[in-house]
Amino acid sequence: MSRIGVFVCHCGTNIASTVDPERVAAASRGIPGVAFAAEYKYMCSEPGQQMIKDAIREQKLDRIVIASCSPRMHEITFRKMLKGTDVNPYMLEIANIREQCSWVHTDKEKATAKAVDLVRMSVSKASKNEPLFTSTIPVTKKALVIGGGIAGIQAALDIADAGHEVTLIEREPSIGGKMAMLDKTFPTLDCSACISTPKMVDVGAHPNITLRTSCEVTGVSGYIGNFEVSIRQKARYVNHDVCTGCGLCETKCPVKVTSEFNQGLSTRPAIFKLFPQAVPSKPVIDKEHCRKLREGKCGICEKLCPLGCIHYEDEDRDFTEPFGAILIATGYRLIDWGALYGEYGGGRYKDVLSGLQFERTVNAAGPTEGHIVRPSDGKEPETVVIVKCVGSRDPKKGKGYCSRACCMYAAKHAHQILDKLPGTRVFLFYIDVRTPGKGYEEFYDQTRKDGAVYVRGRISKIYEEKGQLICQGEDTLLGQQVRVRADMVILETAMEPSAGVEELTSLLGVARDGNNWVQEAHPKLRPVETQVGGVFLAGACQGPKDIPDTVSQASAAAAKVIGLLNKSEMETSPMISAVERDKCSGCGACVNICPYTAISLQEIDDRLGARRIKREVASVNAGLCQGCGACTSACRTGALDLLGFKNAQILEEVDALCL
Amino acid sequence: MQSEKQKEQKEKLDELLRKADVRQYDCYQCGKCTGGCPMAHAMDLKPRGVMRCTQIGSLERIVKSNTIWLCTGCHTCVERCPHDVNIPNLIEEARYLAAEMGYVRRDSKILNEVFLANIRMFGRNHEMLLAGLYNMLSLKPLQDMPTVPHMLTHKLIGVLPHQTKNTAGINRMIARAEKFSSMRPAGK
Repeated sequence: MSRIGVFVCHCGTNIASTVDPERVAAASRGIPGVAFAAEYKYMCSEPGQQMIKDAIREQKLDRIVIASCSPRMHEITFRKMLKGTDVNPYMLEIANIREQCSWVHTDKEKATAKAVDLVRMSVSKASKNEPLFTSTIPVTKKALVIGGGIAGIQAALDIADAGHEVTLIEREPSIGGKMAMLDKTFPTLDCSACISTPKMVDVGAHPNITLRTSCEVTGVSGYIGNFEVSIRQKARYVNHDVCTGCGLCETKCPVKVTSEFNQGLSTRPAIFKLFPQAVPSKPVIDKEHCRKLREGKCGICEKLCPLGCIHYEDEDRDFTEPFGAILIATGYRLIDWGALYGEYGGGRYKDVLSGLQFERTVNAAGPTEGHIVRPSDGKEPETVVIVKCVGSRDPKKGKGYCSRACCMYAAKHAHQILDKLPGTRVFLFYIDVRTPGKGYEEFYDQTRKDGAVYVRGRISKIYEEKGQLICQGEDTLLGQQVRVRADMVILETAMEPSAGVEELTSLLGVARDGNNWVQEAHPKLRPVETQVGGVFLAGACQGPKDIPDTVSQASAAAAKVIGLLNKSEMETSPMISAVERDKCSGCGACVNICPYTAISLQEIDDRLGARRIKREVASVNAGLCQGCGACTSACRTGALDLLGFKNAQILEEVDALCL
Repeated sequence: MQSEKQKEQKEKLDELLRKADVRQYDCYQCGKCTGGCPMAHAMDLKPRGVMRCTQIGSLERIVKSNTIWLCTGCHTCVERCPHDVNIPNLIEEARYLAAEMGYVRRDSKILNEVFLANIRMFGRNHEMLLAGLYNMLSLKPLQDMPTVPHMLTHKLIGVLPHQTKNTAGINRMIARAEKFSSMRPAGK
């Protein structure tokens, strides 16, 4: 017979005002298996804990039931306390008589009766508890950061500065991300390149950072502290070990390709650096367009290169590396508004630009060297219309969410136009202006005072007439239709997750929300973690974000990674699934249902009568299993059980209440 | 306290929205509907205003407006609406309600009758006759005169009526439609 001790907490008046702890303790003494019961004002306090420890020693208790608050609150506290006693920390049960009883009831009689029931259930479960032991797994002291935008750059630098090795991978030929494309950043209007390129250089030069551009993740296995990541290095056709980045190869390339970095506003050769300040500052060949690689003729760049860096035979290389932590920082892209908004011309009108196209236009390093001119005829616009919420807040055609940064960069665009082309008329069509952020409202206010005309209403239609763009909408504050003859229109389009985020999150086993953004473990309390241990996130891959928020989140995620890598080994929870091999038929239902890819089929030697056979059974990876229990309900033979929540334990609880 | 009249209005409005399958709070008043509405210039209550009235519970303003009679049902507003609010549906239902409540404007009623008579006669609309009869009966005989030469010279309107092959069939369709109370022509 087990010797169970029941300890009823008053929680000051939190419990005691609705539940009578003395009567609960008295009733507990009558439950079979209970050797001792007591109550105290604050069980979690030092004297309360001492009282439990004394009782364990004096009464020779082997299991403990504490009737108090939610286990989420203090189960850890009491487990820690039990570590110093003869009782195994997992021989503890918490009966939640606060959140699930005293706080939600008013009738003291009934609440007390319910508290007794809850205690009886916990006692029954405790009688079936078995000692469990934590194990430890080693930690590979190296982090992988996926994505080389400002989030990935910041996180990689923070982790590396803390003394840990970091590999930063980026699928483009250069790091820098979207921030490298921008001209100025709100609300301070400091030049984007001036604050981001030094960080890019730091990444390239940091002794703890291995930078791998033109790389993609192709496979992930393992678990927290011990990931094995397969990476594909895409063929660059240029030997970066030898190349000095002199740029001679680019000068004579006969191919002209639309520049992705300049958002289609200019062209680039087939051998190219993404932009002049690229890191690494070395070119790659675009195999889709290179004449030598496509047709076998040309080879001019090879002849020009003084160091012989060009290798047309280069191929994709795959390799695998171990990592202890993974940080997703894959960022965003802009929606393809042309395909969605026929009423805005669907991309037919050259002078209707996206926000990023305007950023390139106004950028001193852009195709027009910072002169704001119409792409169609190169003339300066006299009237500009800025349309906000294109694709955002539009559940029918675009996205239902607000893209958060557009109100501010729309104001910034208006400011830049008024600054560079004084006398220009700028109309901003908006539904709401949202400026929550330090200095943001002041910036918006200043833009209005600069002369930008804010018109409340969503543009309904844009059409061309005599070389001008007629923007038709309603001024909802006047209740009138308005038409603006504009020379240039800027559409502030919605952000959406980067291409390939589905594949990457599937490889990592990380969840996405309804809009495909990477899902954080808890929106408030665990905002930079995913529900997969050891996988963290930062920046716009989690949801639309501006630069200050992205950088803050990147540093926060880096702190979490550093915390993990600082451990040489880590404890795993023993409350995980366990397989009874004799019962397991190897059907694999659990393999498919496990959200953490923790279960796999393993071949074992067995006997069938007198014959030796080989058969497959489920095998649980202790590092990956999070103890959710999905597999136990999927298991047809009942071979899987969740330690600490075994079917027998839960049935015992049910019996205690119902029989 | 709400007055009896307010309660009655609210019930009628709820019924109207239910019939039209429109949820008033789907609309966040962006104005994209009105911005692109080809008739908005002539409306006393713009399409966005109609939705606003459903939100503040002002049924009266909707049924008394000229908007519900001017809407051509082109559906441009719904097509562009970010929340798919079907304003033409709402307006269509509001027409029935306005008729029930006795708010049909005299000229709307005349136009409706002239139009139907036209269809009964030719199986399709004869625009010249429609415009002529309507203007006469609504006591504004000269209102469209300035546009007539342009319309005629650009063949936008013809002098002679076109007869459909099966006018009797069309008449049977009208008769049948009139039997269904939900499809009754407004004003009857």
